[in-house]
Amino acid sequence: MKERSQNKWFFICLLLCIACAVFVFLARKIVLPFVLAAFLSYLLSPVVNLIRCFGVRKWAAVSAVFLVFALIVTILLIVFIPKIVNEFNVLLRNAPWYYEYIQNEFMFIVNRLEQTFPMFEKLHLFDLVQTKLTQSIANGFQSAFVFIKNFVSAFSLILIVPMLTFFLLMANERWSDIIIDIMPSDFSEVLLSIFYEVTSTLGNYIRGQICESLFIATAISIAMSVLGINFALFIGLGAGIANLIPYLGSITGATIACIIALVQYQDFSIIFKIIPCFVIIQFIDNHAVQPLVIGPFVNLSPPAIIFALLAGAQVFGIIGMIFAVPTMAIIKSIFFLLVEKYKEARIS
Amino acid sequence: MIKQLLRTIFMDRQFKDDIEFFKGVYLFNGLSERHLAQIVTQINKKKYKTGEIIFSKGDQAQVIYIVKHGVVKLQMENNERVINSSDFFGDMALVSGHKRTFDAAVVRDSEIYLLYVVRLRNLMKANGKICFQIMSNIFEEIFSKQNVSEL
Repeated sequence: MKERSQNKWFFICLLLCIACAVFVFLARKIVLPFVLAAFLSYLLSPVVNLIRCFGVRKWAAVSAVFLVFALIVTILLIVFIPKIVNEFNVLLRNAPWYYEYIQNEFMFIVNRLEQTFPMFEKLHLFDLVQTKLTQSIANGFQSAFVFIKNFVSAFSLILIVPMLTFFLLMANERWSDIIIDIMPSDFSEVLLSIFYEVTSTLGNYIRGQICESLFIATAISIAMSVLGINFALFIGLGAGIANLIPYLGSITGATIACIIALVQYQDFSIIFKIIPCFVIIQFIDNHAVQPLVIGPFVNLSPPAIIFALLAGAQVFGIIGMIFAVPTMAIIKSIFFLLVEKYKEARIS
Repeated sequence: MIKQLLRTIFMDRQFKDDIEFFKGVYLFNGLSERHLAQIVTQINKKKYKTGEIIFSKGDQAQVIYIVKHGVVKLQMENNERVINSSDFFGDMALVSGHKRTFDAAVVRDSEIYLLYVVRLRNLMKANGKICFQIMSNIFEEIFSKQNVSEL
């Protein structure tokens, strides 16, 4: 009897998870505000908990945290937005020039190559790569534009996200209590462990990623301005945001910095200053900042992480890439919990 | 007057009551109010109906149960123990990988706090005082039980 009922629960849970996943996939175009709100609420919830320890009502604690956070963000925006917009404008104005420079440089390399290895001439390497490059750059710009447009389509987003965050923070523990109350009592221990697994994995990941990105953004901005490279703030910000995506992020940041510096100095030696900078900052991040803020958290093997990244990019785009790894970690831990429960049911 | 008003507006009565309640629980004896508040933020609540089985022998132990009100009966072969309000059971869950050695069933409609051990363990890891107090409380309990059986 017991085995039957446990099996039943296992499959019901599995079906529910699959149904949720399918639904989220179908509604993926409207997921963004919820994701951002979840990000913010996970970032702020420890602070809210800390304030609640003084016996303050929840709404008061949430409001206080909210106000302070909004104030900090506004100040940061007021200080940094004009600078970043300015840098971005200059960069956009100079973009054709950058493109031309890269083209010339590349043509020079191809010519040299064709001189030394005449057999390459038949391949029309330059034309081939140029068309590919133009295409991919155009595509990249387009997708980035669409992403930004979706992002900002969104004056409403500015209103929706704080509201959602507020309610998520308010409802924080209530929903888990409600679910535990509804479910049969022999299931409450598994439920509790699943809740813990989900909230702690997501929370640690999000808090860790935000701290890390902040660290990388400031460190790289400072390093780039020390090296005297243009658009230091822009590069730092880009690297910080890109760092949300494991593996890929750090490489992207370094590449952008290298291209900008190369055009500015017209000299390859600058690369040997930039790359060590990035490597050192990444090293500090991996060995000092990461253990401090997240600890040894994602126990996934690199192939699994890369698979999750690519799959996330395929299904959800950039947001999918950011959330691929914690989702994978959650699925893994829930799977093992359920398998454990299943085995236990079979034994008894 | 104004202070009183502010207190009613901003202070969480439920939260205070929970802390007051936990002060009377043996497991958390000697913990300061601040530490108790930290524990209260980690806790879940569930209502049980008469006759419901909370857990049975051989289940994986992951939760410590603290009875807010109601009556719970623990059964281990011939031994029997009745748990009343502001008492706790299942604390051996703190030992990781522990399996339940007894059955627990609700005798009268109850409201029970559920404390997931990993959360408590994290608190204990982070805060030496909480760890020491809870450990010594558990030791004392085990010790007193041993004495009884020796007699």
